[in-house]
Amino acid sequence: MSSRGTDVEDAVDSEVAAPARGTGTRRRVGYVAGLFGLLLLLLLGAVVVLVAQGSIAIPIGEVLRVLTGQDAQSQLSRTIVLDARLPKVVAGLLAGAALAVGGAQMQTLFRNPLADPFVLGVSSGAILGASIVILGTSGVGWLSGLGLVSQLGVTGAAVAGAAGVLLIALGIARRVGDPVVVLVVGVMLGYLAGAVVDMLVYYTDPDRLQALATFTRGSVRNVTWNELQVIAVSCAVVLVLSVFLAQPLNALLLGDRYAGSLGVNVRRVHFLSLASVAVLSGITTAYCGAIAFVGLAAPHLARGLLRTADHRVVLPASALIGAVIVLVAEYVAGGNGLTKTSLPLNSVTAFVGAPVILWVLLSGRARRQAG
Amino acid sequence: MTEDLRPALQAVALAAGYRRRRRHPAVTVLRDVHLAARPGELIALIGPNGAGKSTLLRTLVGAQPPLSGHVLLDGRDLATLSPRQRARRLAVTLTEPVDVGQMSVEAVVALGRMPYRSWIGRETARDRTAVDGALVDAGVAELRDRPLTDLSDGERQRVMVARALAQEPAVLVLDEPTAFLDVARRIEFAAMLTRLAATTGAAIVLSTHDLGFALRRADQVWLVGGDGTVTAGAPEDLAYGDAVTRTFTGENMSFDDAAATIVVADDSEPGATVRVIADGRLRQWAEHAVRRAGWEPAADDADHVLSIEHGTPCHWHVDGAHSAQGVGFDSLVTHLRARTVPLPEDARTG
Repeated sequence: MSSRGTDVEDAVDSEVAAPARGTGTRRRVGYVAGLFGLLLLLLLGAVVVLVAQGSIAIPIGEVLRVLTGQDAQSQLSRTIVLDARLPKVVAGLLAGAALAVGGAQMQTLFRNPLADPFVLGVSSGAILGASIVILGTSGVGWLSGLGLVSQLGVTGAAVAGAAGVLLIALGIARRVGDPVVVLVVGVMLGYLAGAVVDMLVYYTDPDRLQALATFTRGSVRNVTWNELQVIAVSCAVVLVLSVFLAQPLNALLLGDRYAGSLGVNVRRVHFLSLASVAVLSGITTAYCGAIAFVGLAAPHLARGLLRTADHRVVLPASALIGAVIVLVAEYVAGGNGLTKTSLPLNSVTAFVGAPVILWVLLSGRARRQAG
Repeated sequence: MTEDLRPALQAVALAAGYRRRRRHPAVTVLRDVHLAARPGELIALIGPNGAGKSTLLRTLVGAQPPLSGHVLLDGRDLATLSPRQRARRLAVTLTEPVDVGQMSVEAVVALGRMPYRSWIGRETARDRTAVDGALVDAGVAELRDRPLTDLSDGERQRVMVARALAQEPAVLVLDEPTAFLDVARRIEFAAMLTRLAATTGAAIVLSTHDLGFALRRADQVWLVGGDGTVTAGAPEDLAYGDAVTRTFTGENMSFDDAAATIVVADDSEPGATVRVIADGRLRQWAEHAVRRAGWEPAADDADHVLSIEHGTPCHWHVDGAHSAQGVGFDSLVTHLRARTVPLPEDARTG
C-alpha cells in the first residue's frame, strides 16, 4: 500500500479505483471491540481486587459473592465490602473516568497534547473555589456534615474555580499557541491558586481551618455513599453529554476554522466542552482531592492503543483506562503488604503520568502541534 | 456550460471589510463587488498582497459578514443559511497547517460528512459512497489507511481537497492551495482541479499568487485591484485589456504576453543587436540567454551573428565587432555582458 503512494502522484489525470473496505475494516472493528472487552475485564478485575484489599482480609470468592448479590458467608464481610470499601472503589472509578474524559477533551480544546486538569492548574482552581466557600461559611464539618445546601455550594464553588482557571488558561493558550509555554503557564496558575489558598488559611480563624484541612486532604478513601450520589449523578450526566461532543470535537482536530466550515458551531462546542471539563474536574477534586496525571496519561494510552484520534472511541476508552489507572494506583498505594501505611495516590499516578509527559516532550509531538 | 445556469456562488453589490474592534467603524476594503461563479467553472482569485483577497474570500464563505450587499449560495442568501446548511453546499480548504494526531486519511476525509450526520454520527451507506468517491476524485484512494502525519505536503493538500469533496459541495473554495507545493505538484494539482470542476460540476474558486496559472487554467479570473475594486472576466480579457498590467506592474516591471506573467522591465539602454542562428528550443533558449545578457535578438540587420550548435553544453560562435566562441550558455552570457554597459544590480534579478 505504501509503495503505491508515489504512483498516485504520477497519475495526474487517471482515476484510481478505491480499494474495497472489506476485511481491513472488519478486522479493525474486531480489534476495537476486543480492546474494549479487555479494558472492561481489567476494570472489573481491578474492582474486585481492590475491594478484597484491606486490613481485614476478605477472600476474592467472598467479594464476588457480595458484589453479585449472592449470600455472603459472613455478615461482617458483607458490611465491610458494601459500606467501607465499595464507595472508595466506585469513587475512584468515577474519578478516573471523569478526569480522563476531561483530559481528552482539554487536549483537543487546547490543541495541546500536554493539557490535563491537574497539570494546567484546573484542580488547584477547584480547591481555591471550594476553600473560599468553606472558609467563608461557618461550617466546621466535612462536606457531608455541611448539609445538602452547603455541600452543593462547596461543590459549585469548586466547579466555578475549575472553570475560572480553564477560561484563563484557554485564553492564554489561544494567544500563545506553544504547548510547552501553555504548560508552564498552567503550572504557574496552579501555584498561584495554591498561594491564594495558603493566604486564606493564614488569615482565617483556626476554628474554620479544620473543615478546610479535611477538604484538602480529601481522597477517594473517605468518600461516603451520600457524597457518591452527587459524584455519580453529575459525572454520569456530563459523561453522556461528552458522547454528543465526540463528533464536533473530531472536527475541532482540524482547527476552529475548518470545524466552522463543516457546520460546527465552534463557540458552542467550546462552551459545552469547557463546562463539562469544569464539572468533571471540579467535582472529582471536591470529593476525591486533586488526582494528578490521570487526565493526561489515559487519553494518550487510549489513542496509542486504538491508533486513532477519533473521539467517538477515544473518549470511552479514556474513561475505562482512567478508571483502571486510578484503581490500580489505589491498590498499589493501599499498601498491599509492601508498606504498613498507604501512600498518597498521586505518588503512584506520577509513575504513569510523568513518563507520558516526558515521552510527549521528547518525541517532539508537543512542538509539532504548535507549528 | 450554458449561460442560463444559475450561479452557484454570487456576490451582489457586496462591500467587504472588517472591524478592528467591536463598535469601531468598519474599514471597507472592497466595495460594489459583483461576481458570479457558475457550476463547473474554475475561477482564480488574484491580486497583490494586501489588496483584500483574503477579506473577499472570508466574506464569500461566510466567515465574516458583508458590510453591505449579499453573497448568494445557490441563489439563497448566505446569511440566512444555518452553518450546517451552508456546509452542505460550500466547502473550503485553508492555508493553515492541519495536525490531527493519529488519524487516517480516510477518517479525515470522513469528517467532510459531518454536515450530513446526526449528533451521534452514525455512518450511512451514502456517507461511505461519498467518502469513497472523494478519495478517488482527489487521487488519494491508495493512501486511505495511512496516517495523515506521514504524508507529504502535496498529498496532504489532496486529502484536504478530498475532505472538502466529501461535503458534496456546489462551491469549493481553496485558499492558496498551491502555495507550499513544488512546481511538479503544482501542475498536477492544477490538472486535478480542472478535472474536478468538470466531473463534479462544482464551481471551484481558488486564490493564488501564481499569475501564470490563473491566466492559463482558469475559466474566469477575479482580479482584486489595490483600489478596492474587483474585476471579473475571462483571463484573456483581463490580460489583453490593461487590468492585469495596471494591478501588478510597478516600477521596472512589465507584463510579458507570451509568458503570461510579470517580468522585470529592461529599462537600460537597448544593447547591441544579434541575429541568432539556431532552431527549435535551442533558438528559444539562446534568445533567452541573449536577453539575459542585455542584448537584443534581432532579424537580418543585426550588428552581430550568433550561431549555436546542438549539444549539452552547446557550442556558440559570435561574429561581428566582438567575435568570440565558447562552450555553454554561461560563458556566452558572460561574454555578451562584458560588451554592454552594466545594469544596476536590482534590475537584473528576476
